[in-house]
Amino acid sequence: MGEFLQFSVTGLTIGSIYAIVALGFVTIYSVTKVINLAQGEFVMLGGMIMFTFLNIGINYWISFLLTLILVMIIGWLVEWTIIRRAKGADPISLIILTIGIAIFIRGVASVVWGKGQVRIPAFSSNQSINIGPASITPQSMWVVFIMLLVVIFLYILIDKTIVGKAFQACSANPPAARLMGISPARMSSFSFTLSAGLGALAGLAVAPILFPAYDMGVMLGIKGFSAAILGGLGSAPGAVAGGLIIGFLESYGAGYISSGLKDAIAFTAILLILLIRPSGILGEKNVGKGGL
Amino acid sequence: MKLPGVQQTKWTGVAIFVGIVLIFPFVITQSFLLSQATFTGIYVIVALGLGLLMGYAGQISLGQAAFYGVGAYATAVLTTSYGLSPWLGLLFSILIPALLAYVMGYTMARLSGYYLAMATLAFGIIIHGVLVEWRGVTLGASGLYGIPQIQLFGMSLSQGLPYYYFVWTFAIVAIVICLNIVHSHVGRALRSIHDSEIAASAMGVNTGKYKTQIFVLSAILAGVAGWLFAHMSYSISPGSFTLDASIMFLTMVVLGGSSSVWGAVFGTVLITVIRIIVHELGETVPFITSDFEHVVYGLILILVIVFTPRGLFPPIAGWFTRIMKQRFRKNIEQTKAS
Amino acid sequence: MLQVKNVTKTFGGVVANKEVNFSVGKGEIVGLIGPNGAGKSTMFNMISAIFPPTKGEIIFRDLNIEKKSTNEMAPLGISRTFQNLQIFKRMTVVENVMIGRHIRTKTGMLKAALKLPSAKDEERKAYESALECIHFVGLEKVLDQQAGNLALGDLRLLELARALAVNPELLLLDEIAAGLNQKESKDMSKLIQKIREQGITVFVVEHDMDLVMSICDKVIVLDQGEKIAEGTPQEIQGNQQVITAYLGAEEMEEVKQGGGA
Repeated sequence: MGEFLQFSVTGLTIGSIYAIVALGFVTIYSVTKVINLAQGEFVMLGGMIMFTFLNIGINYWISFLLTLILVMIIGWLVEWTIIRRAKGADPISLIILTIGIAIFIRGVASVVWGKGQVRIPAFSSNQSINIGPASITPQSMWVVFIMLLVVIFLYILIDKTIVGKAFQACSANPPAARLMGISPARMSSFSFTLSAGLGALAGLAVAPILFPAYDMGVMLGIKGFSAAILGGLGSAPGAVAGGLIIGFLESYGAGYISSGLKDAIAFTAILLILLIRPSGILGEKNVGKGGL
Repeated sequence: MKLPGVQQTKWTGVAIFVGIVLIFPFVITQSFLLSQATFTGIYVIVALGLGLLMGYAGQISLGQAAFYGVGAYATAVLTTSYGLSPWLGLLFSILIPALLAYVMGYTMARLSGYYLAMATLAFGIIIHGVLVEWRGVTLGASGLYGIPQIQLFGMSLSQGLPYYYFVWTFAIVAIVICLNIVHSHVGRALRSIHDSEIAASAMGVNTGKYKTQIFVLSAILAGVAGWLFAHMSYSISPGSFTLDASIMFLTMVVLGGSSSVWGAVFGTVLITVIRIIVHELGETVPFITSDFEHVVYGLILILVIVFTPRGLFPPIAGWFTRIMKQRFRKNIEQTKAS
Repeated sequence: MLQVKNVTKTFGGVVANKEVNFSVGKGEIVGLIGPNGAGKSTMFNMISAIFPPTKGEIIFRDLNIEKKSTNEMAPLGISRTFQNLQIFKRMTVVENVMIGRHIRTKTGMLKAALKLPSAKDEERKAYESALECIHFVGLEKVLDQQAGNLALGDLRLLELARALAVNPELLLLDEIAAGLNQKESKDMSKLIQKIREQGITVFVVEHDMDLVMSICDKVIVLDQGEKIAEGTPQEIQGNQQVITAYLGAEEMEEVKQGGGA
């Protein structure tokens, strides 16, 4: 039982990270129909840039803010310099494009930061808290807390603000949105900036636990993508559910079966779930006029 | 048989290419370059399958290296641990990837391209995980060694010239097969799916069936390439079959262009040349490490998609034929004048 | 030949078709009309099995087809054109039409890969039948051109040729005359009548009233998803409900003059 609880805590922590990354995917996808496979690189940049700021002696929370802003600027730049120029490309080309962006960012990161892992101090103390037989670090709690904050923030942003209305309009019908004076190009740029911010936040939250390195974005990106698909592409609650499911799968897989096979186990389970529910857990069946 | 208005294979192109492949080892004799050219042949086979999948079935696979790896490990395990002949190994290098692709393609073909992208990504990670962890069979991360050489007409095919011709024989057969498919009603049906899936199915084209078949074909080709790779190298390890390798294959196809069979071939050759250049530069320039290759791949993917989404082959081929036609016309005019 | 029984289709909460009943007899030319959003295209998409109805039955030659998949329709003998032109843009005209012959081709991937003589033979036959259809609609001058470069009128003809290449028993024409000028539209009417003479049943969705009223044996009117009238063109033109719900009195006058002439 104690073991199970411990694995659950780990699963919840890592699952929360995947959920945030998946929300980044959903944010961009729902506005632009682009699957941004560079999403994981934003997470990596969050961790690595934070490390650099701390290294040159800037205060922790100022570094935190600066990192967030810098990564958001990078996200904005990615949209402005690259994605925008490829508008009208088919979905496959767009996937390839974002893969290109991802490996480019990763390659540059390996040149800038080298290949080693870096250490970043936790938000607060490192003293584990015991809950029954399991123990949990404060940073894990921070991660879950930030995930919840992100969910609430996105909910308010999308459902309660004018920006959110514009977001939804662009998602549903870009030409009509344009007629109503909403610029899909600006919303696209906004969605990239926002999800770069989400990625960076995930990176900042998880950095003290995972020891970031230049290539950490690959797996996080793939898992976030899988979580988004698992949840039913385009559904925000689905993304959170998908992220948590992958987190738990991985944690139990590593705990009870083999830590070396945890990814293989998680992904096999994902593929099986998709076999049974092809449209994802919370995805709507593809209705509509069949492209007509 | 000429059918005006229908895309057909231009056999002169194939003949010229075979000529280049035959002559190459006599022009370039350095053994390093010959082994790179042999690798190119192996990669061409993988890229051909991926090119058909992307350009004709409109699907993307981000896990092609996994099929390549399964092909390589199938034969490596069977020939080293069970003493099978490499030729029997080939059978399994074809069957196992085909079966895996069939199961995956069958379930995924009905869904959007994103699912296959995700599924193949996941598949690549699963396979890599299994290759590393299933130590009883694959010997884990350190890899398998002692893979025997292929026997042909009582001769052992060792690295170098014999293997170069052996690999390229397979590659050229693969090219011809792909050209035939592309220029058959199957290829036409696949191209139609790309332009309008809805109209294609209204005309009775079973889009799912063809997508699955092409996916299986791409896995078979990757498996054969894996077989060639395993028996060329004395040893193999999971490190050759990672996501990075899948992305390398993807880059080859994107750079050359997936809308024609030759695009994949052209892209593979170009990427090999780029790899050699990066490798050479790495000897002298300190910040160019093996990771720099990925920066280059990333840039290539971005630039190609933004500026020439159909890849480099179509514009270059177009330019080349125009020049040749002009020459030809001039020649005729000159002969007329004289 | 075709029976639509109590067919209802909803998209989310929106009702596109509500309990529609009608039938199309063999050898007839039947028109389906109605204002924009009346559910005409939805009905066509269900008959061509692009999506299933929410409720109800669609029967083609004693066979329920409402649950079949799109690609099973052509082998059964139903073929169609598309209002918004679903042309294979990057293929030539003849290649487009050859796709219509696809279901008659039995060569599998393996035979095609090895280019066996039987595969070559089938390819030639498909080409010849495609040429026949191209001649029928009169596109022989452009047969080797990229379909994406054709003018609108030719694109409509190409869709028609492609649909005919299937050798259908029931041909669905979704606004085949949309965007055509008067002469092209007249020619299209003649072509449709020629198609019927070959024994093919034709079912058209049309906005072009001249065309509908001049060639159809029967007209079905949809409004807001429901069938409001069915009858001969003359009956429909005189139907008060149709006039108020659909055309508006003034427009109807014009149609009468045009169609009756």
